[in-house]
Amino acid sequence: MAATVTRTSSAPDLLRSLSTTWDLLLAITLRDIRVRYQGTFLSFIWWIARPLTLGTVLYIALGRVLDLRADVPNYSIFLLSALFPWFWFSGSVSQATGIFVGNSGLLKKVRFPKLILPLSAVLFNTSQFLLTLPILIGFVLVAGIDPELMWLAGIPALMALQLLLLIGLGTLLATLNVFFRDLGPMVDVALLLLFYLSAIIFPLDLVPDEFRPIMALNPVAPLIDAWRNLFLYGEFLDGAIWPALAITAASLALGLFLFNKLEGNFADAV
Amino acid sequence: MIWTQRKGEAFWALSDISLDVTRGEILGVIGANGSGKSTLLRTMVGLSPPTEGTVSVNGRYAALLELGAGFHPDGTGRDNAFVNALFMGLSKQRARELMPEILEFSGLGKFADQPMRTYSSGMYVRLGFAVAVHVQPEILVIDEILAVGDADFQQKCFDHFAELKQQSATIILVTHSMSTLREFADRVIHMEHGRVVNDGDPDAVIDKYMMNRLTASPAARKVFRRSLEAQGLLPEEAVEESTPGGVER
Repeated sequence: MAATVTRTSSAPDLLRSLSTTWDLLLAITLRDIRVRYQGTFLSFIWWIARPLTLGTVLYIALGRVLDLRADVPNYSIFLLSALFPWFWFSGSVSQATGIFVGNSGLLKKVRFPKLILPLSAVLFNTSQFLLTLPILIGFVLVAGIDPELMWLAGIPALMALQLLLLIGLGTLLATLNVFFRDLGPMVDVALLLLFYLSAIIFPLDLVPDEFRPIMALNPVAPLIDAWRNLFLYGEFLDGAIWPALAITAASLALGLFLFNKLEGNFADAV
Repeated sequence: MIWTQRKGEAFWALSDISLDVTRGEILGVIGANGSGKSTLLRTMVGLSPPTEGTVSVNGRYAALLELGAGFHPDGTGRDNAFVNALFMGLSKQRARELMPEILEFSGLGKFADQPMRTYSSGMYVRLGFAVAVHVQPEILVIDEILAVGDADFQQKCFDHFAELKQQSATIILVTHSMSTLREFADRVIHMEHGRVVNDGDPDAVIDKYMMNRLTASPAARKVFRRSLEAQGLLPEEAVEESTPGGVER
């Protein structure tokens, strides 16, 4: 016998439900932002504290002690222009991975578009990146880099690209995590690994040839490189953008495909 | 896909169920823990698609399968009620309009702007229920939540049921409170091991269920018998007949 669930609905219903879905997504994201930072006086400071602290430590350890400054001009901006997008990436990925499992109560009890959950995790981290972006640009300008016209096209384009990558990756990991709980700790380890494999702290040119193929497998390295090229050299449509685009498309397709296939089992599996 | 494989024998949480609920009906669901009541509700509202068989639903439903679904403990009551209303399918504008009424119904007063982690479980439920009834559902599904509210709030809920019923809303109610069902339900089904074993008039179904429970085990029969004796309701010969297996004194 076939297993089916039917419900009456019509075209206006679908439109209405799309706008309600968007409203719900915004409401959850705003509530989470309020919850996270209510009662902390310096909330905005905490958003930028992580990339700046790590940036300073790395600059001193690698730039001054190991003297990478000799090989990399503008090493401080080299670090910061990679660290800000990196924290957006790692924050979104780790938060999205646990989002279905962490909201099992909701998934078991309320019928709603489940995709909203990973989307809200990504959106939450995106809003943080967006609000801290002026700080990054401020540092770039203070370092004596002239603003480029290309930034006007490049920043929104790279943001859109990374947003789509995170939606794909976040949905994929959150879905798989429902059925394979080891994924959560695995993602934590993987993020640690990716941090070094993303060539955030050293330029890809310095990587010995035998390690290059491993670096090429990394989904964020091209994107991080694209951000850096944009801020350091005003380059946008250079080599780094194409692999980043391909990886984004692949993760979106795979993430949405798996989610679609498996979401029916969520209520029983989480 | 290897992750979805179950180990051991298949367990059917529900089987052989054929059930029609008509518009405007208040259906009570009773049965022991683990008899499949909640699974039945989950299947009805489309959260767990059936492995075999079909479910058809006509109308907008509001699931309130358990208290506190989707509430963030660190969020304020107001914020959470708003998000919850959108989860239930209300538009942003409609939810904004209804917020004063929802908060009024919940009776939270000044606590509405406190984080929900400071709430008692009764306050939690009241807010959840306040949202659910204001969604003006055509189908309201309720899983054992009314026990938590205080007497005043329960009365408010029952008044609201009566109102919803007049608007010919369908209500499906899982509860262990037999008096509630005797008073409000049009029909009660009794579930056991994933099957519907009795279906019909509330008083008849509940009486039989209570009798079964009271005479289900030797220990229960002993207690039942003592209480009848104590009330002087025990004609000697009737008990010998109605308690098979013999009960030692």
